[in-house]
Amino acid sequence: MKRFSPGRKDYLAKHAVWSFRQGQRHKEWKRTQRRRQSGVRLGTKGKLTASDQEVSIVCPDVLDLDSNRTECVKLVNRLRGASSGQPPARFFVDFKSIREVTVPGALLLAAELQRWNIMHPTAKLKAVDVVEWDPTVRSLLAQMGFFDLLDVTDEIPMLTHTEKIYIPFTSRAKRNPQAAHEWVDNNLKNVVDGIPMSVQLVGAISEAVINVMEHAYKKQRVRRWWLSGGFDSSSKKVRVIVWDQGIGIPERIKTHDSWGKLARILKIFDLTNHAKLIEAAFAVGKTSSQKPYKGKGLSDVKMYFESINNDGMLRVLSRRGEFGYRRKNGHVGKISDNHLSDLHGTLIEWEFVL
Amino acid sequence: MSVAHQDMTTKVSIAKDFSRYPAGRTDSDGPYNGQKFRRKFLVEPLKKGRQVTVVLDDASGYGSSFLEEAFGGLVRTEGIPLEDVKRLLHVVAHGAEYKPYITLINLYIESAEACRPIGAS
Repeated sequence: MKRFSPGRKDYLAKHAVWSFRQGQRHKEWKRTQRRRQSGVRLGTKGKLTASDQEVSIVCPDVLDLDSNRTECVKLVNRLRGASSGQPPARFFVDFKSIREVTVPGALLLAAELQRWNIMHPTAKLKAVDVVEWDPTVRSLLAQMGFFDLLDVTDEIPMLTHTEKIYIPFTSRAKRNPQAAHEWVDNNLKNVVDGIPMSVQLVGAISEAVINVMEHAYKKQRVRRWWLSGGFDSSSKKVRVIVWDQGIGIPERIKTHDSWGKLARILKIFDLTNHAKLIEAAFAVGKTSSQKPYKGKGLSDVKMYFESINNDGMLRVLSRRGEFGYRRKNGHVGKISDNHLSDLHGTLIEWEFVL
Repeated sequence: MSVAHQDMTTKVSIAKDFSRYPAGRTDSDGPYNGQKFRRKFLVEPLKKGRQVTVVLDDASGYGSSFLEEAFGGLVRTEGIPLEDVKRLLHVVAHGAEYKPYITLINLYIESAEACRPIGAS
């Protein structure tokens, strides 16, 4: 074994310490570079503070696009933003705050969570403190299939004898309109008896789904449609919802070949009037297809509403616009509204009273 | 498949002989699409001058994409003359929910004439 002089030993020991510290410094530098690239803010002296490592989102108490649209849209947009970039070190969504949830609200929330899981497959979301959630909200979300997205294996306590039933949602990344047919047959009809003109409803949903995958998305990585519904046994109201996270009808219709002619005929002068742009899509059944025998998507959507006499509603919410038709005691009126909050996607809703 | 052939007439039930869930235009929409139905059940007998009866009942539902591709496509894509299609093709529905589709199908066939391939007789 080689023997070193005391001076040599001393030098080798100091060199070892120096090398170790260089390695540590280099590792810290690399870590800093990575954090800078991911956009996480650094605290003082280049160290991450506790608040930088955790993103926390508190859900609104009412998840209803009608009575609490601004907060709902804010939640959707925050979740969308969080899923679009690098995942934060910790991501926490507080569902305990939700006291009331509607079918559209629940479906939008489920869609954002599913999107997160697709964008971050190695950092899937998990449910925590489920027992502390509002029991009615928890039960309705469980009916919809919400907890399947959150990897919950424990049985969720369900409320029985409730007036509201939420139907398990389905979602596909392909056109697959057959899945919509099967959803009506295997899910909706299991809950609701006597759906008027169900054959036409199936046709309407099927076309809505085809339309979504053909026209709603441009370059987004997550390109899916979601379908769900609900039944309220006290009011006998049935709701069926199709949702997508695409660019929205107001954006899409402006790129159509016949946009100029369409705008002239319908006297569309203000392109910020998203309700009017949705009405345009309804009026002519326009899509981005260049073939004259295509472009019937929204016509089918409306056809179902026209084929039944039941009180109810058909409406489309897309970006800041909302347009549709409401029937009450045989009288049909239009729904047309523009909102301040921007819903990034399109929601088609059929509602009818049995 | 149990397509009934009687003399020169072919009868096909979409729900029983093809699918209870017919949907979409082409294979990219799923396996039971309008193009497949048209090619499998309608084109050959119609081109041979045989009567074809299509029964709409019992399917879960029909979207316009399926119907336009299956029936409008006879004229638009296959180039079968409109008069021949109207003479040989009979679409029937027994249930009240399905009857409105007969009018729609006729509309799609008529409208397809404008898109028929140039040079087709």
